[in-house]
Amino acid sequence: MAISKINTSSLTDNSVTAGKIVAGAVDADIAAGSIDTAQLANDAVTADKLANAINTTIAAKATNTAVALKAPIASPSFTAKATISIASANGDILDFRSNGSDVGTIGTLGGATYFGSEDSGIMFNGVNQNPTSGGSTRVDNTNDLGAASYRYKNIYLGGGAFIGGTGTANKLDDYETGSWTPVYQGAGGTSGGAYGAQEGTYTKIGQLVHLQAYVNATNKGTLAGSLKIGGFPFTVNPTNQSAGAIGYQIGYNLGSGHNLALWAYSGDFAYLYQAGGSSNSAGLTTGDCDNAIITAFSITYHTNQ
Amino acid sequence: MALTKVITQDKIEIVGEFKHVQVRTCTKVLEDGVELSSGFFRHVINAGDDYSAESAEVQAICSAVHTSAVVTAWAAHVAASSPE
Repeated sequence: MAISKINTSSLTDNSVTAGKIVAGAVDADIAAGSIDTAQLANDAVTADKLANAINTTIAAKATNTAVALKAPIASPSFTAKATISIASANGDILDFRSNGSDVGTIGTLGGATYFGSEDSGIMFNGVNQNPTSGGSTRVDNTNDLGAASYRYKNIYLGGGAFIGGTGTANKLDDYETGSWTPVYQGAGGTSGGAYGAQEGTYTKIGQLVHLQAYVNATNKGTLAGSLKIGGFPFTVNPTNQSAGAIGYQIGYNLGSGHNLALWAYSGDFAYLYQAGGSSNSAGLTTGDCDNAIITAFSITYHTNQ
Repeated sequence: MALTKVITQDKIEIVGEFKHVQVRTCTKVLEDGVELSSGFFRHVINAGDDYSAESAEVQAICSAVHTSAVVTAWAAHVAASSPE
């Protein structure tokens, strides 16, 4: 016959040893408070004994009572997204600590999310990412992006970079390199012509364009009117006239003591001039050069964009 | 491994009061679709220039913006600003 009750007053200390309790002898009907936790030795209840013992009822408790996790959690994983919520509109949501010291924070301010270390961070504020002092305080002209020994590799910009100021005059919105084809032209018309070389490269930095060219015409063809070199990759801004530098020339018949010069002030070309001594600059025509012409030059100018 | 060269006119701009048409031609060398190198070539079509050798897209733009008024204005500007 099964024993339903034991009069515990008849039991002396240590009269019931663990060996007398068979498996299943103690079922789940242990009254609340019947086990004095003070009597539980350290490590008396091992983790494997608690498997499945804590079920979702902890969620109900957590809504009312802060749950302090005393034991370290090794690599927790979630089968769905984890949510950490605070009751206020602004403030830190999650603090990170190392050896008792704060090392980082994730929080929110006015709907923006920020995260960072104790010294610097970033706030995702609408479509902007603002630098912070680590928490919710945004800072201006304080944080660096990268460092001398810790550089980012590349940066891709669809717009521009404001350097040294925030005005439109501080905005660098374009950088480009490429090639172009220099060609001799007559202001009154161009036809025929044959070339041994037409080498042109350009570098554009913002509105500033720098050209380098070597153009060798073995037969200049018909060049009516004022002589010019055209084919520039970008048009010249008329409000920023520029002079070029001739490095090498063959086939020009200039006046004594005169030098070849380039002057660009509109369109995609520069006019050829000669100047020297006390003479005023004078434009060249096809009559001032041989049938074969070589010109190597560079010129820097502003374009319209 | 397949090498391909792709040439596109990736930027066509209309610049200034005389409607200069700036054309950027991009040449890319691809290996199995991954870019190995690229380069730009640029040229400008002025009002009154012969653009019959240009692409259909550039021709359409030149036709639209290089009106007789613009061609006349550009020619007058060139004539007025040419060296004496």
